[in-house]
Amino acid sequence: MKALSVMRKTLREMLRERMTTALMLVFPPLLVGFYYVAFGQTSEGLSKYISILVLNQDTGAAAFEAQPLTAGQAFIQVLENAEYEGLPLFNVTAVDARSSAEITLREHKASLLIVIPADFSSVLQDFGRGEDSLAAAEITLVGAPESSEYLFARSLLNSYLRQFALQIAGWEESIDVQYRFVPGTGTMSDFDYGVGGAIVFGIAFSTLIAAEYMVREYVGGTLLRLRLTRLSAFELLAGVTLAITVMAGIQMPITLGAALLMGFTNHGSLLLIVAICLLFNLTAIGLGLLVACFSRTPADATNLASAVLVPLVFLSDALYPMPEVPLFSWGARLIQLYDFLPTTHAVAAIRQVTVYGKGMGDLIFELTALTLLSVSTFFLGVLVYHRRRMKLR
Amino acid sequence: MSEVVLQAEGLTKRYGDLVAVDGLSIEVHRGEVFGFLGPNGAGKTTSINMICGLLQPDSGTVRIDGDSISGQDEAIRARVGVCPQDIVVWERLTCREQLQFMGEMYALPRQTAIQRSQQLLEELDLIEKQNAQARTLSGGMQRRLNLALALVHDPEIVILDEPGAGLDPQSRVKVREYIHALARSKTIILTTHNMDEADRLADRVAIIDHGRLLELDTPSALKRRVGEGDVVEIELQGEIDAQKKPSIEKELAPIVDAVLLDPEDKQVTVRARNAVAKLAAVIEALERHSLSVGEMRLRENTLEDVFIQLTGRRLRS
Repeated sequence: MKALSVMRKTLREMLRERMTTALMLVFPPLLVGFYYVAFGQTSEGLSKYISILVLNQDTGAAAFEAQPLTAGQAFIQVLENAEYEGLPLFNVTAVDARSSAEITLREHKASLLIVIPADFSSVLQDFGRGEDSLAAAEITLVGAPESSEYLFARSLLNSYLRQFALQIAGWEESIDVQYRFVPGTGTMSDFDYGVGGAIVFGIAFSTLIAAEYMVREYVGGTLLRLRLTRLSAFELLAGVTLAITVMAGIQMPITLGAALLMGFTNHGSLLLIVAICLLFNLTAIGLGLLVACFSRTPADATNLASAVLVPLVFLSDALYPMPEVPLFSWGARLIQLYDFLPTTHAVAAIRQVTVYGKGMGDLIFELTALTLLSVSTFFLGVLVYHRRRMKLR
Repeated sequence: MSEVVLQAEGLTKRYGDLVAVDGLSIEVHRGEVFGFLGPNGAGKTTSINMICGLLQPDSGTVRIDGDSISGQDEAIRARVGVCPQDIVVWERLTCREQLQFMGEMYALPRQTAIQRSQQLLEELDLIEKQNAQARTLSGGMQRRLNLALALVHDPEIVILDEPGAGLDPQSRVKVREYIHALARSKTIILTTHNMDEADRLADRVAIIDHGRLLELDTPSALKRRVGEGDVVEIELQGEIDAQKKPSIEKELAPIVDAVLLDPEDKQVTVRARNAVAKLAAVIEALERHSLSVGEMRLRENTLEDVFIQLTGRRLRS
């Protein structure tokens, strides 16, 4: 009962602290908005993602069956017309010089450059007539090998090239390669992928809120006042935890709603997303309590909480993919350094739900790891806060 | 008045090599106003914190009506209400909200908490600001709210730590009147730097320094103990060499009953029977040390004189 009174009082204070409320409730949807601006134009399909530069040097070939052959131009047309689920697959841009195109590639403003040689049409024409030719049709694909977009675009192009060659020159294909995407991911953009990270980032703000609040209670002397009452440490911390959980519960639908309005496609259970967030919220509160133990002023708490939040969020794959740092194998699973961060599992679990529509049964590892890490962080926070701030000395 | 409600016995608290409170033993009687006087760092707050159960003594016990108070015993702890010297309120809660919240924390039934809040808001002239957040109140109002928060659970013993600090004269009178009224039904432990306040309010006064109890008696008995006579405060002009303090005091000692030279305040305080008649000799002695005399004030003995006699320094030093 007293825990509920503490919760009511804490909520009142938090909601009247406009800056804090704004930070907690507005920043995560804003982050989603930034993602949307950067990656979220899903109406353009994969063309937003797979941007192809074409340097067409093809000079064409003489009339073939009464039609002059301009194979290079025809291939460009094929690429421009390529679609997936009714949306353009490639964003094709013609370039005049290889050097300027390579600059664009280096700046990661395009996935790949196709260089169509001058003899492209004539070589294909020779094959079409059944004439042996010493020259082979050669197309150069230029891109940054470390870029996943380059690899993805290259493999898609292979298929189109083979089909084109078959159509023009009658080349036989022993294997017909078909590309299919996991359901729901065909038009998935970085935006859809990033929303999960933004949701977790938003919940991680509970660290800042909990730390600031508990430091203010300590520095202002009100914690001492409360210790004189019949309120137990458990009731106080339970009340504060409930209040911050309510705030997180208000924040989550706002963030998700903003994402949905911006075109985010969720393929899984909203309830499961909420459950994952609430579980992760325990981590954030536990860390907030720990930060509060080592801060003398609310400003200290803000700084220290930020220092905790940055690695917690940035190393977790929430905002961008991290390189692999394997530590050891556990059964069939490779355990990485980031697996010790609760954020990693929260982000992974939410993405599995939102992107691939997975359910609880598919997330045993992520949910178990998240539960263990969250619950232990929370209880560590409670224990240390109790010992350092609430116990008699 | 003779029934002991609070008994502290042999309270000791150390912080490393520093002994903050050294074997403090006091008995507070039911219904009395018990003054607790001591300079900064004397161990006053440490003693109070041990008495109200916020601090664990290294040795010694505190009993309320014979029951030992310890941090874990919330019911006994709740029999004490503490009004801290600093303003300790929740800035973003209204006056009424925080009073009711504290009532709930003391496990008062909801209706009782509402009634007590209403009563305190009225008694402490806060009713017009009942729905204002504490951060919007004036300093005086915040102090009154601070006091109300200590009383919401109707404790038997109220500890008031410098209740008059930082108050404007109007609010100080209001608080003083309220403490007077409170003293009719409660036991009050009052810590203060204000000797006049202690003199007016306290039935008995304990003076502590360096963690030790120096004296404990009624204000009038303490003043009698210091000695009969008047006190003359003499302002000095020009710079005073602190190193000459002992020699100047030594020279004045045969003339008066007690003397204290304060080079920082540029003031010498002497107490003597028929003090006016001895002033000429005092001034002559001061001039021998090249100290010229400015303004002089004659007054009766106060608790501050008791304090100076006991500790050799002013309370505010």
